[in-house]
Amino acid sequence: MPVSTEDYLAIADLLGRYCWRLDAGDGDGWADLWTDDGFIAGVGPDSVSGRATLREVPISIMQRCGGAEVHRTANLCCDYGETRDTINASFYNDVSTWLPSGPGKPLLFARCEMTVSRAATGWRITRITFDPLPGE
Amino acid sequence: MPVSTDDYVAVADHLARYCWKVDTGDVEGWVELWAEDGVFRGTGPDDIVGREALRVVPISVKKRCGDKMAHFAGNLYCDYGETIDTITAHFYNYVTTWMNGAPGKPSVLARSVATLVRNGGGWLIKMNHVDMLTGA
Repeated sequence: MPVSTEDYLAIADLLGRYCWRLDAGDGDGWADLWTDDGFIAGVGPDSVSGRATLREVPISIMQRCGGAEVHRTANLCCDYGETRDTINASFYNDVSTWLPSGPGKPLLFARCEMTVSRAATGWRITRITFDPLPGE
Repeated sequence: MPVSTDDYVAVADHLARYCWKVDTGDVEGWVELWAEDGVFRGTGPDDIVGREALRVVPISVKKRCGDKMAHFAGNLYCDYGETIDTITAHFYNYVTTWMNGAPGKPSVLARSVATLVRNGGGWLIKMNHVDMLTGA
């Protein structure tokens, strides 16, 4: 069953905030987009789960790249889960770096599967699984 | 307060036209997307203010790259301003060039914060403040 236009756009908006806050190193703002038991799999050998760990993700990216790492999402498609309060979303996520030492470089491309849950204040991410195609 | 579905789609459509018109050298069409006193900030040391001055943007893109520059807007999220007649839109603008049969090259990643004002049934850009990552 296709999701409503309103829900589709809410997820697109959520992913916009996800990328902006991640790239800005906004740990608390980024963690606010997740449920308390939010879970990431597929980025490294270990999964990441829970608010305290999730909030460190943007902070560590900022420490590593100083704001020069860029996440973009596209090709979003959405389906309801068992109820209309859960959406399973698929999207592409490309990551590039824009360091002063050279031109912009593709860093990673990942096909992502995401589950989001409806909350009183909007949608929250429960889980994202990344299937990355690393560059050089 | 989240923006309405209609307003979110209208802003996404407006930004798509912004990309199409600048890439195809449609000078008049591009400046008509702006308010009369629209301000483009962050592309150089000085603001570009007003429709007459803004004409220089698509003209210089065409002069430098012909129709071989491509702007991709993404990661859009929107919030109303003080009233529902103003929207602050955050989006990324990924710019590539495709010159002389050579492979496409990343040119600029612009994190853009645009203020749009409602104009009858549509929207106009009052301010677009870009933070440009250019790599080298």
